[in-house]
Parts: sequence; structure tokens; C-alpha cells
Amino acid sequence: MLKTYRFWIISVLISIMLYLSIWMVSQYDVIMFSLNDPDRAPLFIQMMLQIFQRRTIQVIALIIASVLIALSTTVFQTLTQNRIITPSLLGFDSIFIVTQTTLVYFVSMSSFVVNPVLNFLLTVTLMVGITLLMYQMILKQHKNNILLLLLIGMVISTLATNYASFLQILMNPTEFQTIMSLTSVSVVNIQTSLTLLVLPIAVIIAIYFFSRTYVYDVMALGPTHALNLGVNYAKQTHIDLIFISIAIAVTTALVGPLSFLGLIAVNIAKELYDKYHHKTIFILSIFIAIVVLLVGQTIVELIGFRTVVTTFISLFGGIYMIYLIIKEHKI
Amino acid sequence: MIILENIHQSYGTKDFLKNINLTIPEGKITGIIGPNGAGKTTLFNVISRVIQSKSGKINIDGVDILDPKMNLSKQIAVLKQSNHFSLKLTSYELISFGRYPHSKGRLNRKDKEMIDQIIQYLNLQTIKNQHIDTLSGGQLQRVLLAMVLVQDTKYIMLDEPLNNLDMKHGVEMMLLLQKFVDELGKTIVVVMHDINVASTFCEHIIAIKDGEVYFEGPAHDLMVENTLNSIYDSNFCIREVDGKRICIYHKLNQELEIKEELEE
Repeated sequence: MLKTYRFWIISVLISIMLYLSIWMVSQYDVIMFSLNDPDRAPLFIQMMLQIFQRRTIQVIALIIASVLIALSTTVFQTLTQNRIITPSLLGFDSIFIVTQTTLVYFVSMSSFVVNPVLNFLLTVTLMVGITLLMYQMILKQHKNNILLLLLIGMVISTLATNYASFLQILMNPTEFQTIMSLTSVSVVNIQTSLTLLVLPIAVIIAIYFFSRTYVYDVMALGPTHALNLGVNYAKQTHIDLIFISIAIAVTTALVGPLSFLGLIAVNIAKELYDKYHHKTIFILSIFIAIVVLLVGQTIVELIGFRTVVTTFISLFGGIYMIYLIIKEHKI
Repeated sequence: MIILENIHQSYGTKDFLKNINLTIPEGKITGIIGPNGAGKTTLFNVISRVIQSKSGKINIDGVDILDPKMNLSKQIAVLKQSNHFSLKLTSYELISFGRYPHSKGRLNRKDKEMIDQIIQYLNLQTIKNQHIDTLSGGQLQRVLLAMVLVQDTKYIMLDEPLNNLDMKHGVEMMLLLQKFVDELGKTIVVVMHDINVASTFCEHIIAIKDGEVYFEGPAHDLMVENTLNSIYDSNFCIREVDGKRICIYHKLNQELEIKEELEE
């Protein structure tokens, strides 16, 4: 296990380094020219430091996103006893897109769209509010039936996506462009103020999930066994769902919809680790999510932002996952 | 001692348990029997707190267990019928989950000693490191029993533990339960279908019919034709074999008589 850990820690460090320095590749000529010019060199070095600073903030934001996505997906899969479910099935991504579309369509370029902090707070409140409302209505009445919750979440997200695409058809091209940039995963949008705002929330959520790893081990045995072993299953499920919804809402609003990342990271972690301990799955899936996200973003930047990082995550992550499954089960 | 007072349970307008008043004695195997749909499993679930009863009181050694804040995992261990796990577990790991109420996940030396002791007690050394999805039904049932024993509770509740077991393993299981009572001083409550097994191995029997306690007492008194006939609405034939009363589920002569009557 230590060997696997070491491998992934080194991978994480390498991908952070890669991401921090990848911009130099496209700007190679400018850098060489400026550094060779004695008048410009000191000023230029200062500028480079500024770029590194901005990119460090971006790296922190991406790491926060990876951590939250990996943790909440693992816990959600434990609650649903299902390995191919992610919390985004509850409709977070579409609620996010709907919020942004509605904002841009009805209030156009008001401060809600332009001011990132206001936009962030509004979106997070809406997403958490809607999901909490769903929990209250469904879980209380139907004895913790999470599958019913998922079903309704999927219906809502289909409805919401259709509504959003209807509005997008009615829009003029500039507004549509704004929507596209707001709703695709992008590090360009990441703001220092937002990252600093999210950091404490992320730390609290991560600490909570890590403090409950043994409880999740027991809950993975199923409700009856967990109940027998003294875990208050219904209450724990409820608390976990609230934390999951906050985590997903925060990540989505910070970097954009990343649903497939959690699925891939957690499944790869579960294929690599053949036991059940949540602590290890947590750590491994966090590492994998960070590597996948950062390397994906690096490649996107290398080819000049011609595509979004989700494409890469789906492409390479998906292929690797299929490879692992085939290797594991010898299909 | 588990004491139930006025337990009432209903779904919608249908009553599943009506005014159940029971005392489950200590240091014995208590069998709960009754026809399908009589409310055996509902009663089991209410006692084991899988579901909340609509009204009534349950006392275990003087403590009210219906208080949702009470954590009873050190007093009662429960084993239900359906046990399939989506986890990759070895027998040892599954058994060690039974220590969770005591260790909260961090096994110390005492926990490990206890686990090893129980594994030895149930002769599970050979399958200790086997994955549970490769175990046979009987082996899995023994592993689950070990998990329940490791929990180190005074009371053990089992929901139809003989399901899917053949005669040999069924009898082995019941003998094991008797051993637990005799050697470890456990109090065991078992829900079962087989009246003969119940009468042979259980000292105390509770028969449920239509959500009410129809019979409560020693096995010997249950095995009377009239009592069994009215519990199950069918004709029993009871014979004594080596001092134990054994029943056959239908009386051949009577059925023949009915047939003859119909033919006439």
C-alpha cells in the first residue's frame, strides 16, 4: 500500500509542477527574449512571479475541487451501495446550468453575473436549497429511499436541462457565449477571493468525512448490519447527504460541472485497492482526482484551449477505467 | 429478561401486531413460530428496533429500548435473513466488524484476542482468510454467527437462521445455538418455520397468529394437536419419539375421510 501511496504522491507533485510551468512552453520565445534583455529582465521576473502566484491559486482551487468530488462520490456510493452512481445524478450540474442561464437571460449583465462572489453565493444557496428541499420531501416520507431520490433527481435534471437549452436558443450570441464560459469547467474563471472563501468550507467537509471513515466502513455492510452495530443509519445518511450537497454545489460553482471525475477517480481507487477501508479509498481517490484534473488541464492548455478539460477526463480516465476493469475481472 | 408491554404495530389500516405482552426468559433459546404473515418477522423487527412500534414498551433488563437515543449494540445482536455484501471482505474482516460497538473501528489487542477465540470456538480457522463470496451457505451462516458472537452481547436475535441450510447444517446450527446458551450464557431468540426443530431445540416457544400471541410456554405444551391445529388451521399428527414430540404436517386418515366425503 505504501508503494501505491508513494507512486501517487509523486504523480500529484509532478502534475502540480507541470501545471505551474506549462505556460512557459507557449511563451518560450517571449521568455527567452525578455530574459536576455538586461533592461527588461528584472521587470519580467516580477511578472513571472505574478503568473506563478495566480497559477498557485488555480492549483489550490483545482485541488479543493478534486478533494470534495472524490470524498463526496465515495460516501455517496457507500450510501447507495452502488459503484456507478455519482451525486451529480441528483441534478447538481443541471441546476447549476439552469441558474446561470436564467441569470444571464433575465438579468443579463447585472452584478449577479459579473461579480463572481455574488454569483457564487447565489448559485450555492440555490443548489443546496433545492437539494435539501428534495431530501426533506422524499427521505422523510419514504423511509430513506435514496434510489427514489435519485430517480426524482434525474427527472428534475432532465427537465432543467431542457429548460436551459430552450432559453439558450432564445438568446443572442453574446449572451450564449457568456453562458458557455460560465458553465464549462474553466480555471480562467477562478478568482482568488472565491478560492479563499471556499477553502475553509472544503477543510471542514474533508475533516468531517475523514473523521467518519470507520462509520462508513460499517455502513457499507448495509442498513441492517449497520443498525445492529449501533450506527444510527437514517440520521447519518441525512447528515452525509447535506455535506455531499454542499461539497458538490461548492465545486460546481467554483470550477464547473465535473461529474465524471468523481466516478473515475473513485472507481480507479477501488480497482487499485482491493479492500473496503474508506480511509484508503478516500486518500487514493483524492490523489487520482488531482492527477487527472491537473494533467487534463495541462494538456488543454498545451493545445491552446481548443477544448475543455472534461473531454480529456472522459477520454483518458474512461479508457484507464475500462482497462482496469478488464484486467481485474479478466473479461 | 426482555419484557414487551402492549406492543402495537400497523401499516395503514391493517394491524400487524395487536397488544403483544410477552416475557422472554433469560438463558434459554426462545423460538417464535407461526404461519406466514402472522407477524413473526414484524415482532422480530420491533424487538430488534429495525422498525419502530406504533405504541407500547419494550424493556431489556429494565432499560426502555424504544428510546432512539439508546445505543443497544452492546446488549442485543441481530442477524437478519438476507445477507449479501457488495464489499470485498474476508471472513476474518467480516467477523471483526462485530467488534465495532466496542472498538469503534480501531481493533486493540483485546478485540483481536476475542476474534481469534471465537474463530477457534466455531472452527473457522480454515476459512478465516477466504473471501466471503466464495463461502457456501452453511459456512457464511457460521461466519455471520461468529460476527454476532464477537459483538459480545447478552441477547442474540436470529431471523430464520435455518433458511437455505440442509438438514445436517440446520441441526449443526441449532446445536451450536444450544452450546452458546449452555457454555456462554446467552439468551437467544429465533424466528423459525420448522415446528419440529423448534420443539426439539427451543426451551421456550412463542406462537403468533394474526398478530396476537396465541401460545407462550415450554415446547412440550405446544405440541398438542388442538393447539397446533388452530395455530396453523391444518390437521397435525403428533407422535412421541425418544421423549420429544414430533409432528407430521397433515393427518393422512383425515384427508382421506374428507376425500371420501367429497366423493359421496
